[in-house]
Amino acid sequence: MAEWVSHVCLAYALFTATGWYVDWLDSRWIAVGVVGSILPDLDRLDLLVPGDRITAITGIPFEWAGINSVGGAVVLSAIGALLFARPSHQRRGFLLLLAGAFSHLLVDLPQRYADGLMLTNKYLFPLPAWRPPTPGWYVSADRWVAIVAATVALAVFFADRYRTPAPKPVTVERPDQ
Amino acid sequence: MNRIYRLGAVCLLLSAAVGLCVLYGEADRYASPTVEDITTDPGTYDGQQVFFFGRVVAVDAASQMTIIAGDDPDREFAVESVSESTIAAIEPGSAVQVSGVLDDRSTVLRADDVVVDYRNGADFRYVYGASVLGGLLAAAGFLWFWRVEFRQLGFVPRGDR
Repeated sequence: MAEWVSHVCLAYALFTATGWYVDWLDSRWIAVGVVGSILPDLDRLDLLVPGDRITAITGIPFEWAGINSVGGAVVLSAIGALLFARPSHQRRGFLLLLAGAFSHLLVDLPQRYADGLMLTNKYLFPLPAWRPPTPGWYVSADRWVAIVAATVALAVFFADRYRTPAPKPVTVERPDQ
Repeated sequence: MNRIYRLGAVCLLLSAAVGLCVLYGEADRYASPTVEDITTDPGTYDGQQVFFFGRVVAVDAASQMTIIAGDDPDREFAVESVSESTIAAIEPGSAVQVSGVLDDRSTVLRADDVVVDYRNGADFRYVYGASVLGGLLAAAGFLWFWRVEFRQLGFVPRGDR
């Protein structure tokens, strides 16, 4: 996994740039997408409640890694979406949380692995395991990843701040209305 | 959807999340034998290719280290043919991945490649520290625009009544 500063910065950049083309994707929804970008790493709950301890107590095989996956992204996004009070917010919330969670899985894909393959067998769960070659760009502790991600986020932040928004269509009220 | 239905749906989805973790625990998602397979029958897997995540317990010689892979702290593997640059980078406690071939009743692992995920305590502190910072940034950004509405038991945009 990349650390969360990288995930958060890259998700911010992705959703801010997407917002240039999608009217309703404003700051409050960008913030939702950014939260989505750390959802898959809720499998770090393993540090608090180890999966093998749960297995030892219940006798049932249990691995938190099950939620750091495509299936986990869908389920966790749906849970997050239901925490919004209004149905219209729930639909957009689900979309943004899911997009954020998928951005997380995508950023984690090109890490370096000793057998030269991506860890897609884990991330695609419960879809069939399939492992294409990895470009091996980084490992979790590489500092340059966060530096690049923060630079991209800052560039998008300034581009967003100083860009000229597209003109909104003018609505003319008829005199008889 | 009223609060009761939403609460029920959240409980169902939490059960689905737990179900995913159980299914994942039961699934065999790697083509190579796991540490648990090898522990059960160590002699069977000599000559087979494996891929492990492990923790270094000792750096023994110019091209050898000992790792623990899997959950059993007594299940050690002597990893041979480790490159000099890797040996120089690791210390006891480093987190590594090894791809290689098993030998000597699965006690020796002849490495094709070793990747060092965390060299030392500073690497662990960096990743966990940066993750806490990222989590705080995400939470602060969210709570800047959204607040909890207790009557509706959910998040609503700030400024809305």
